[in-house]
Amino acid sequence: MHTLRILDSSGDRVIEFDESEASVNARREAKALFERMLASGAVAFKVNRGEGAVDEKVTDFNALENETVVIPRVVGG
Amino acid sequence: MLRLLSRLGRAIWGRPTVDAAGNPTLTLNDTGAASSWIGDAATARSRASEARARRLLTRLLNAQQLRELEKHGCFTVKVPGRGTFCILPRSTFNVIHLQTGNLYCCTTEAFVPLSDLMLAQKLLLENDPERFFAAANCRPETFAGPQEQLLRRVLGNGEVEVQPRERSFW
Repeated sequence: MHTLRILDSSGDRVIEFDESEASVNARREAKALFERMLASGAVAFKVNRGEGAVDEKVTDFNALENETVVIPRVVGG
Repeated sequence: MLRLLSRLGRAIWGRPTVDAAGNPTLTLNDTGAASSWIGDAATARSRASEARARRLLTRLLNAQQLRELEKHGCFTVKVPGRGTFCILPRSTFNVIHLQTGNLYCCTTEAFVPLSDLMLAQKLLLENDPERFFAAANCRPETFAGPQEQLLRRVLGNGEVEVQPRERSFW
């Protein structure tokens, strides 16, 4: 199971999906949202990777692992 | 009087409602107003968002960062080649470079709760620092007040020599 976590005003929005037939729609929604967010300047990181693996920036939807956090575009404050 | 005003407000704007998980639900009151943006409901919504963000932040911090957060309310991030930065729990100029005292402000374009902002800054500094520094505004050490200087001494692990400054009127 993959978890895509998009930070927003409610804390975060979560989409869970896997490779099964049952989650085809969820996977399609997650892919569309992931690509749209990154195209608008957001950045995504693989987190909670297990076995001491460090967090890692990710740009390819097919490379997502257990959990991914998507951060909206950042600007100077 | 306050109780009366509160009762009147609830009568007009409606009571906040929450789902089984304790998250506020989106409701319209009898007048058709989006009551989650008003009064107690707005406060509950804001608290629920921050609580959710805080749970995520504490789950994704490493052990040392979690100890620092519990003890000081902030935590440090090491950036290879740049030094150690402390992420403070406030929304502007909340990233301080412990070695120099410079303050950085880099925030998300979309509004997120404070703990989400702190998590975003941690992830960027640890994994994509060039993006952080390309976007961030920087203010020099002279803008850091006594609380920031105290944190530099406490969290700087002896790397920081903070000289007390004479305060003067401008």
